[in-house]
Amino acid sequence: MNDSDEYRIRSALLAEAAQAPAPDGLLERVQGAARARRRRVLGVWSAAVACVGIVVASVALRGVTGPTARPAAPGDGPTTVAAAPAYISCGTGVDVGEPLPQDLPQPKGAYLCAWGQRTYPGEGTWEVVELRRVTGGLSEVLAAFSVVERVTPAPPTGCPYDGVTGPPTVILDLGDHAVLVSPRWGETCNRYVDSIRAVEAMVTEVVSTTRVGQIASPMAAASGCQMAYKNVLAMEPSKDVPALLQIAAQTGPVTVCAYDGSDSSEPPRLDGAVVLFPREVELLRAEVALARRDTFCRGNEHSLFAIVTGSDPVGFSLAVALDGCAVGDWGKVYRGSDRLRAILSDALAEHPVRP
Amino acid sequence: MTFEAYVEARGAALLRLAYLLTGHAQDAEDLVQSALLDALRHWRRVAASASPDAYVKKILVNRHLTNRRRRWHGERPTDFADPDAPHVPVLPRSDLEDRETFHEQLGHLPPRGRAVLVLRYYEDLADEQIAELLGIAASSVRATASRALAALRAQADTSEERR
Repeated sequence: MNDSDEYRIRSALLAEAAQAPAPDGLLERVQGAARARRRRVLGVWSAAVACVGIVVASVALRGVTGPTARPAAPGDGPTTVAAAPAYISCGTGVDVGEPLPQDLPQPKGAYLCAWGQRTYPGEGTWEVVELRRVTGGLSEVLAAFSVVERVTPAPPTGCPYDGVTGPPTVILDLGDHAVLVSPRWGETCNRYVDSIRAVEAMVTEVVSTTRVGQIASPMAAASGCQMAYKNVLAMEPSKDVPALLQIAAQTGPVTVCAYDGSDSSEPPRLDGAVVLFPREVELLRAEVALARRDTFCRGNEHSLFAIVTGSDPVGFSLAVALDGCAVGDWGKVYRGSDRLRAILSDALAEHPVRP
Repeated sequence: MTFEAYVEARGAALLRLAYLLTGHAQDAEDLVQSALLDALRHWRRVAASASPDAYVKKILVNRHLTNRRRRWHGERPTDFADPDAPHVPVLPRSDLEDRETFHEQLGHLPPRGRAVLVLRYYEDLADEQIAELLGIAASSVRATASRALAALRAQADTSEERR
């Protein structure tokens, strides 16, 4: 192995890595899958968690659960459709399994729960759950769920739902109470795809939208920054700190997210954000290269800090104390120059992202 | 660091690593999702570790190799590459310009060999770090890398002969 070989392999791997998929929606998929896993672990008790996985949610929120399905208009205001009975809600009911019990009464209606995210003007981004009434396709779903003998697709090919992270759950309205039905779930490609297809083909209308929790404040939604961020400079110092702190040259945007951790009772909150101009990025790189290890500069002697993130494939993430000396990340702390802090503070003051 | 902040900061890098390991976009997404799910279950422990990123990468790489072992039966041990053999460039320059060729060549490597090359030349890890990550001896890392490089050279030879 000579240097030329090494260079060629590194170059080829970098080019190959550039073809990797973008992380769009990664966090939501993982959180959706975590919910689905909790449901499986809980078994019968999973009836308490009666909701669809995030993949189905994203489909539903885009209005493709059926030809007439439409996503709800932004806001939690009253809808024009009739309200659901009190015993219908996302999170209640007993899963009767698949195939459906033969003595199950004829349902009076059906509903779906769809989890997703929504951004409200001036209020940021929230995780929401939509309760959707089924207005078409229920008989096909009941027929699919009633089949006793199934042909399981042969793994590892032939299953178009490989990788789907959550089983869609249908709430059946039996008049005075509700039960749930979910396509049977397997770790590999042994799900009953006809049931899933029937559920996805249902036509639905939004009955209500409930906010579960805030994901991003208006500032965070506008800037792409996290709403809160741990003071990573104050993490336990790493034992292995390289001599120099360097960041790669960037062609894409570099984002600065500033956090205020002066209230020790809560995580540092997003206080400002800015996207740096290319000339500011070059100044930043030059100043970062001047940072040096210094045992007298500690990572916990500040309350304001910025997370600087490059967007190129060979990107970087850097933490800079705005009212202290520290710069670095992941427990690696260096002493940064006054000029470095000034570049970021000036940029934040002069052309901040506004929600 | 919260799990959300970690995914936001490192999700793209994990996907790139997973893509290099699997060679398929969909497989890479599934692999990252599985690894992050495992990490989420033990996030308190992961976040408290010296390097959460290394912890998650360890989960990701080992999950990939475990999955591959279940499906893949074509790996056969071979001897070390002969250090005295005439040097053949690992990748002809013309091949480097052809990303699909490299993609194909990587795809022919055994999973562990591919993982070692990716960790060594893309993640820039030392053999000792790779050994710790894979739970094997550093000498095994070097042997695996040697075999993988020899395989790449052989493929490059074949590719050259075809021209």
